[in-house]
Amino acid sequence: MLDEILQIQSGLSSEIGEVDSLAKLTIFRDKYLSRKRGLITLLMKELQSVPAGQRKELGQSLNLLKAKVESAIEKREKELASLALDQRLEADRIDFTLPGNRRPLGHLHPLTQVRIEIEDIFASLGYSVEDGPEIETPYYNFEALNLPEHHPARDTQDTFYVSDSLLLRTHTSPIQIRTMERQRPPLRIICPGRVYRRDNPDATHSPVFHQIEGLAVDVGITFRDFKGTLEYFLKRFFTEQTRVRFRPSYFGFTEPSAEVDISCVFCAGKGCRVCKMSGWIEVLGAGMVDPAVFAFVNYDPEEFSGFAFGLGIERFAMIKYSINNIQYFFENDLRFLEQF
Amino acid sequence: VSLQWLKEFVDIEVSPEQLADDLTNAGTVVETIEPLKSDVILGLDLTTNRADCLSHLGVAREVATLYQKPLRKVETTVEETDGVAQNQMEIRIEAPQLCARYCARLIKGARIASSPEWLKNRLEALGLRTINNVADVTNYVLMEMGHPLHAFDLAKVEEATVLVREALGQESLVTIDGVERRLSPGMLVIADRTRPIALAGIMGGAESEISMATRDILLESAWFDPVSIRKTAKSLTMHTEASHRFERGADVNMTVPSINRAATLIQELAGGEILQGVIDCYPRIISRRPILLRRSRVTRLMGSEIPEAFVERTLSALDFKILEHSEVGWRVELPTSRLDVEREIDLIEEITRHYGYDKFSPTLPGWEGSSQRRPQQVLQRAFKQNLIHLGYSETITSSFIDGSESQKFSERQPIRILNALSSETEVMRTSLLPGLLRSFLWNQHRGLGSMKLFELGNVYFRDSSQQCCEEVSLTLLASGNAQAKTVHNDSRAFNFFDLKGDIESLLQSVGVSHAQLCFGSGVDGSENAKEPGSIPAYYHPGLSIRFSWEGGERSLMGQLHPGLCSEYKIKQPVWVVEIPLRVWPDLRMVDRVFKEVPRFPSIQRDISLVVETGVTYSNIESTIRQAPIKEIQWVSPFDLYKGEHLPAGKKGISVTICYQAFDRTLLEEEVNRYHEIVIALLAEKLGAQLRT
Repeated sequence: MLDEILQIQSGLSSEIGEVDSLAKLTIFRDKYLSRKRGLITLLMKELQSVPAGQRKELGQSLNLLKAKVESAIEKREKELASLALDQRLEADRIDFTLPGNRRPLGHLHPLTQVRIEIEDIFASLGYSVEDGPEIETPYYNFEALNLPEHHPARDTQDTFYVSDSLLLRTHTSPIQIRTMERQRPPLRIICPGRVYRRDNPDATHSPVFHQIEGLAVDVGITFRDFKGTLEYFLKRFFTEQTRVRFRPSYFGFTEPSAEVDISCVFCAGKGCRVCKMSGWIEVLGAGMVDPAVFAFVNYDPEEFSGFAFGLGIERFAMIKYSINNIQYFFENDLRFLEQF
Repeated sequence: VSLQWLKEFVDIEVSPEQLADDLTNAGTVVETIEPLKSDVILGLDLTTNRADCLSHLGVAREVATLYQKPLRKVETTVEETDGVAQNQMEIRIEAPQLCARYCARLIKGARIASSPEWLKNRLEALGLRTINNVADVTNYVLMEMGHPLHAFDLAKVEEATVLVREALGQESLVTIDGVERRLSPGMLVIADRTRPIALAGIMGGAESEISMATRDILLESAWFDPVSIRKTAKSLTMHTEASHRFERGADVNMTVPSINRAATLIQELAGGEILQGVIDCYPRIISRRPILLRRSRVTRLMGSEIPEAFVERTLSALDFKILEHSEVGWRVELPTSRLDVEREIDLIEEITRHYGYDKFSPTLPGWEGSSQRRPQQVLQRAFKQNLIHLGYSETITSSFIDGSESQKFSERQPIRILNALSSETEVMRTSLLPGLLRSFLWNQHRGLGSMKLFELGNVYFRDSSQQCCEEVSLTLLASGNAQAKTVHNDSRAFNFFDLKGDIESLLQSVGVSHAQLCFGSGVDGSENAKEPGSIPAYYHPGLSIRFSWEGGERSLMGQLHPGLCSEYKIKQPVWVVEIPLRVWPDLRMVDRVFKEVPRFPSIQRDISLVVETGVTYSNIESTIRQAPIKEIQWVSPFDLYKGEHLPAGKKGISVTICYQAFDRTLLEEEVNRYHEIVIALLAEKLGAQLRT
């Protein structure tokens, strides 16, 4: 009997190793533990007839064997169950390369994106956003900006008229005047909006375009503050490496005035077709607010000083995204819009 | 300008490129540098205030100031004969307000010929046409000294009289370009006894022009009022070298040196005798008041000091005379060559542009205020952001449309552009739909069938009192599939409820709940169908509706009328929404006070009802909400049924009602009781029966 026990014991691990399904596991269990014909069950019965002296020892061995078989079955059962789950899950495998169930997003117009970016930069510097009417009087569009009638500078801003006394604003500067009339300094505003010039449409001109103008008025604002603010803005909008150049210029609204150039973003200032080999791109016009403008809004130029600037949103977008034709902005071709 | 010519006035040691850079950084922008034979031509892009740089002498003054070099002025000695010009010519200024000074010289017995090569070369290098020795000399002096001159054939000036007067009504003049100009009062002319012989400061007359037969010459050097010249030139749509300078302000004290320079040159090239004296009528002396330039003002405005020696040197080099130097600053006399400089600030600009803007290091100003955005701006940005999440792409279109198109989408009176570029852009848009349709078509023609677009922008119109008005409108357009065919899904065409759902989500995103939204003009939404007039004709009458909400405006949504679509050759349904944004509650004011999150479970119950087909879902929901049960949290439909199992004229509708209490867990029997009340109410008000 001991031989039989030892025999079963020695073959056990290899035999259970070959059990690779739940069905075979049932057969295996029946082989040893079936109530009627199970080998171990039979041995247990046989134990009754073993002489009492050996019975205790053999009984212990047999119980040990039974426990081993049972735990082997249990372990194998778990392994097989986990294997079966693995197989079932593996069968769920899908083609991960198929496209996702996409929910198409819309796109903000690049002009809006640029406008938001600029507004946010100036908001971080304490500027509020103001707006005003597009249909304006010559007073707000020209006179109060120190551009009297019959001034040659008016030639550069060919104007659309809707009546003798009303025109489409050629810049958003009228908002600055309207705000100054309403509010006393200190003042920091930017004025985004749609403006009009009577230019025939081509790659760089559009009769309808968009501007952001800005104005800061306070006690003790200096030309250095003006330079610092615009440099900060331009470096944030373009890159930290952008170099900024201020060139003397002339605008009725400001004095001293400046055209502001940035180092060409296309060639990093080395000279290319876009910057006409100069290494610089003109991006905005600006300057210290002319005392004559303060006179129109009853600010004392001895007490207050300030600066103003104006830029074209289309131009900034064209430079930022290397867009070579202003007409793209108004065609609304989705193949264009979806790039932004 | 010609570099060679500049060098006659000032020594230039730097390369043309360096010179161009330095001039540009001092405000005289050099745009082009072009070598020409042994010379270099610099193309300047001058701002309108800098009339002083419209000549070689003027640019040379800038250069001399920049490099601290002496400026060589033009010195002329006129060799005159004994005959006194004054005695042979009468000159009278009848309009001294328009002509402050008129100088003339007479040259007799000149021989008109073509100019020598050196003169031709100089003028042609600058792109000027050469004519004859006399005309060329006037142009030469113009380019050199900046003062426009004119030469008349003295023989054609009747009775040797020159009157500087305003044109009379009915007068006309053929100018040297051969065009007959109709003159009107207010225009300044040079006339003889009988007729105008030149358009003052703009162009001479053809009849009195110097010809090969001319022997005696009347040379004119005058100062005309800038505004008058500009008005006349503009109204005659003329622009000449002379008018360009006069309208920017010529130098009244340049009249005599220029005329002397020209007379000498003419004599040199064409011979003849210069009669004695300049006939100089100067009825309105142009004098300039000195101004005070305060040291403190410069520092306060610029943020740092400019050395005194630099200020003084620069002002002197630019022809400003320092009359007095004191503790406060400088008293400065203004030259007549710089009419653009008349205030302290103008002097500060002159100094700083020469000092160099780059010498002022950047700073950021301090700030005690905040940064505000108007509610309307916050709202517009929120709308745009949320619309792109709903799949709509933003378009931006022109404000100008065709007048006939404007009428299709709005009954409002459009604002007409008086000087429109074309008839397709003659009025301002009264609706955003024409622009959106154009964008839709643009993309459709390029192969795109499905798209969702929006524009948020102004529309423009005249109100009943003819006032021009601007109003912000949000307009959406959707067409094609709501869902494209993919390996995962079948395609599904965009329908009314996709549109309505987008609007509900959009408005919810800006604080308008679904419950606040009201479709149709009445509460139940059905009333609207009985007023066909309330939907504009460009909408599909059966698939379009007005909607509104508390605090918002009456808006429209639906399908564009198929008839209108066919006018645009659009074959598929196009859905649109128009929301005016005139009035909108302040988004930041929207009640966003925290509400306790319910801690007790909710219970949902379904009911299936059979009602008359005329009963709307809205009737059912509002009836349920009339029940006096505050535990009803929400109501939502989940099934609609029409068909053979129901009697004719009836429909089935199933709704879920959610009950919840905030202070306790609802008991089963409590909810049963509520539900019975609701069912009874539906039966009573709407004749609804339970479907079994």
